[in-house]
Amino acid sequence: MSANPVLAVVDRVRMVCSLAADIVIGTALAPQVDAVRARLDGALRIAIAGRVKAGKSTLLNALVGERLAPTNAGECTKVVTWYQYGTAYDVTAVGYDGRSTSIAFRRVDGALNFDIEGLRLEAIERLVVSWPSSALRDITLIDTPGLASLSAENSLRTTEFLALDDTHPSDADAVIYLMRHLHRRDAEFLGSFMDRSVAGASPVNAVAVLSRADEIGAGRLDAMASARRISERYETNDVVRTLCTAVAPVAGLIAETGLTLREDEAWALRRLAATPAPVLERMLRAADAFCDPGASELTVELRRQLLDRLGVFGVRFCVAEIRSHESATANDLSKALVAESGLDALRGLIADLFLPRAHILKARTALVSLRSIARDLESSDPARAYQLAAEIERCEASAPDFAELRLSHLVMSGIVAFNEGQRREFSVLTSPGTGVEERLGDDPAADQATLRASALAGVERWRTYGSAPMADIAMREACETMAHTYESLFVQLHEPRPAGI
Amino acid sequence: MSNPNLAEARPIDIAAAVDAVIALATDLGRADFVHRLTVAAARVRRPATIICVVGEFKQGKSSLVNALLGQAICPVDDDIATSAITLLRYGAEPHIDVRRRVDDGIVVEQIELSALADWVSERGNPDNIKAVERVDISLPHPLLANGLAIVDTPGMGGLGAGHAAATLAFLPFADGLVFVTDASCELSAPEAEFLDRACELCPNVLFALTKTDLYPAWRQIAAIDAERLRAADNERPILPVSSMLYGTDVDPGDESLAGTSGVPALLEALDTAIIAPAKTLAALRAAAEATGILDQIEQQLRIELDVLVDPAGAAEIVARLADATAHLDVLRGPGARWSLLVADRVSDLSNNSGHQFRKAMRLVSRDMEDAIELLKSPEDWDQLARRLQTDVAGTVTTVFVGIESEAQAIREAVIDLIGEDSVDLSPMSARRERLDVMSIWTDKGVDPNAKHRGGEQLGSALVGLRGAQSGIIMFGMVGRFLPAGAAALMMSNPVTVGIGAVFAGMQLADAHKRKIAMRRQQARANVRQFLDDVQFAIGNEIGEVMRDVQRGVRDEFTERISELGRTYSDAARQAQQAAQQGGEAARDRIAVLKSTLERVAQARRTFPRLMPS
Repeated sequence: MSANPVLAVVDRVRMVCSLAADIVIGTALAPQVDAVRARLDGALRIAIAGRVKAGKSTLLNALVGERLAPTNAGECTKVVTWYQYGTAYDVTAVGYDGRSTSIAFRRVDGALNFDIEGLRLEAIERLVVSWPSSALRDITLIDTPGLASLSAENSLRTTEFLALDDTHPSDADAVIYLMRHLHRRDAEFLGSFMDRSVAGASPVNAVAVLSRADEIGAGRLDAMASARRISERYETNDVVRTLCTAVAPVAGLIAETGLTLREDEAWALRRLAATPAPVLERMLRAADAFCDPGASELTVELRRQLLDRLGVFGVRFCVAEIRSHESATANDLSKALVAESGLDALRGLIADLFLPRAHILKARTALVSLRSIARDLESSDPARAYQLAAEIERCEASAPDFAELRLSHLVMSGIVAFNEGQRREFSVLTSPGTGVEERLGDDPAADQATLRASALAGVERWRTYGSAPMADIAMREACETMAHTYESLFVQLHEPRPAGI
Repeated sequence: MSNPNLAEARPIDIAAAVDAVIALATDLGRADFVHRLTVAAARVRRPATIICVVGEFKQGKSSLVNALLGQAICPVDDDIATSAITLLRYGAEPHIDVRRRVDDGIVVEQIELSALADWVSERGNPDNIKAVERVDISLPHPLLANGLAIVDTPGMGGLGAGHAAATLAFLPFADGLVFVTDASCELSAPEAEFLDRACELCPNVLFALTKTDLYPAWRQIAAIDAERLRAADNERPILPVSSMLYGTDVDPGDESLAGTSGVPALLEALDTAIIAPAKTLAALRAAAEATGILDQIEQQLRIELDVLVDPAGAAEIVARLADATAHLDVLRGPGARWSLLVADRVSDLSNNSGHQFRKAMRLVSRDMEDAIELLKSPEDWDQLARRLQTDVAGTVTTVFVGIESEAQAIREAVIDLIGEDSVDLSPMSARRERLDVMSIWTDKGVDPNAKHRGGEQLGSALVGLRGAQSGIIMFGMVGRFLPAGAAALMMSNPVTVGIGAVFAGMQLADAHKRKIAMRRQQARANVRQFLDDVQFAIGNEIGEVMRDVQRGVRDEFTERISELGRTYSDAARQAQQAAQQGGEAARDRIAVLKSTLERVAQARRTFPRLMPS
């Protein structure tokens, strides 16, 4: 086993791609293979999905660190929009007929305003925004129209985009699902939604975000603590656990504004904080009172802008921040806002959960696409098609990562019901980026003999679980994979240990 | 049919006028009349009207209820707070009962207000492990003293959850609905869909846009929502509300904040749309009852007066009264025609309802089986589960609405029958024509003038259900309807839980073809089990309601016949006494009777517009 199993898989798939490219060279299928390769090597595609007005575009802006996606009080995102890295600023509309049209755009308060007047909205499959932002180097973010939107058209666009069956790989590698507040019954809805439409229908590549978290506590200063408490409750909920790996509270607006706060806004906030306490207190009670013309020397227009940028919570938070730290610059406030917003936790989830696993998912997606190409080839060149299919089969069977991925899916989505102990063992054994000792649940200082004994005991244990008379097919498969994983660790312990592990 | 008197009846005046009749009846020693009129007067002052507060969860329903009361009653939490239905109504002393389902029965426990959150919030009672079905709160609050009963519902859990169907099913029995959505975003598709249906089922739907303090763009949201309502041809005012600005922690001196809270406007709308019409209706009914009683009193007085003036006629009058009393004894007996009619009609109704219900359920079941056979894509499961819920809820509602309107029809049939049997006293005196049994059934056919936007067939059947006229009946019913009646609808009892569970397994499974047959079979089994459960629960409920209908009609009519019997026997006794009196005593008695008759006439004049034509 190599030091980097993830790359090993991608390399293997890449080899299959080369073979496919050789086979289809000069045919009409060649561009398709090129697309598979491009995707395999391209950035991780993360879709941001959720109900209408869940704050998808705002969160996207926060992740990019720039006000790109247009946001508004009313429903706003009507077309699936990709935000990807590009060396130049460019916006393109891709139609269902495959034609691309370059689109004029301008920025209003930083947000993009697309000039799609002349185009038929229903003919546009997606907009692609290329932007030279460093945040987009490793990931492509995909903004989707809200589900359960009043306009059925918009909801349809999202499900269509996320739709996946075995022959048509999803356009997204991972999903961030935004929810504002999840009722237990809602979880069932979320489950059915994810199950039928999201990439591979698996919790392994999905995280949930409790969005607009600042509003949960009615804009009180402890709102985020309250939101964290609620997220934790969701995370331990059995239903939610089968849908996503983690639930993170994020105040998208706070993060977005935190990352883009201007010095003049900080100045206005400082002026605001200097308002006599009783007046200020009254102003901060309600949005309307805040914009009451006589309440402050700041212009109503300016105050309205502050509210739009920060929300009631954000303004209260900044005022409290300025009061406790005397002179707060835009930079200070910025840091405080971002730290409060919970954005870092989400970024951490993307780095720890999505990036390692999604490589395998991308590899799997590529294989699915290649298999479909092989099927298309069958009619014109059965012999080569067979060769390609066999190669795909071999690649898939020889990579334990796929088996582990499937195991993760089976366990995390609840198809296989491990008991609490088994579940704990599973998560220890399959946690990405840890050493053999940790994976075996042993002391890092344990000697080789102990570790080998643990691995063998693991194999034994899971063989026994798997042969239990009550175990169904999925359970047997899961136990088998667990046993195999212990086996591979055992083998690894016999090999000379590479330095650095 | 609209009633021109309705607009003119002023509840406060009527209540006072009824009080005058009560005083008269008290002086005459008629405790039975006093009792009936006291109930009627109380109803005018406090007509029982039920308002449901509904919306998706976390829209601020409980905060809104608290703001309406100006008191923190319902637990409010950042996390989901309300997990059980909460019924708030008037009580002289604060009192809270928690109704829980334990095994197969219901246990009622009294708790303190401070402990409420432990029972109805997600934190204190996660996943409703305590099996709370309903919380009954009685409060000595001026708003509730108006007769308002507020039902705070748990949030409808997002899309297609059982709650929406459950709430809709209960709506025909409610007098009004406050639909709550917050200003954070425009109406979602499920919200809009719910609202459209709700407006068909309930004539008084108020649209409250909450949390306007938190969202600077609330005006824009309100405009979008208004546009949406217009597009659906369902225009109604949007009432912006900020419960926070009306809470207990707001400086009461700061009127401008309370004013911008929008709560006073909502209270006013509640009063105009729901409470005031209910009071008017109750006033109309009370006036009718009071004038009926005045008729009886007047006749009794006149009989005595006639005998005093002309003692020779006494024997004949006493004889006729004896005949009439004997007749009433027959009416009171078990073999009376009306009594048999009630028994027959109720038993017919019971059979029909049961039959209709089983038939409708069989249709649902067949329809489901067909639909399961046709299922192709996985997303159909969800739709099917929703359809099942809606169908079952609709079926159950129809059954109970049918029972209610038939019960009303039975009452009217009894009135007609007794009318045919009426005691004929006309030869006695031209003035006495009015002394027939018919005159005591004055409240027949009062039209609450309910207006409906669509949903006519349901609506017309419900005319007798709404408003003060049926308020008291309904309150008797609420206890029954909430837990099991309206399809166990708003509750988390086994039937409702079953709804969610029917297809639960289906959604997680993948769309593998070989599994589909198996899942279909499983689905059919689940549907059958679910329908069985519903049928069992509702079947029992129909039986209970039926017994209540029969008992209710019997008691009511028996009581009225007894009243009339007492009037006759009193009149007979007094006529005999009068015949033996003479001279001074007779003259004094005549003066007393005349002044009492003057009081009757005076009392009658206070209801001039309400006199039956």
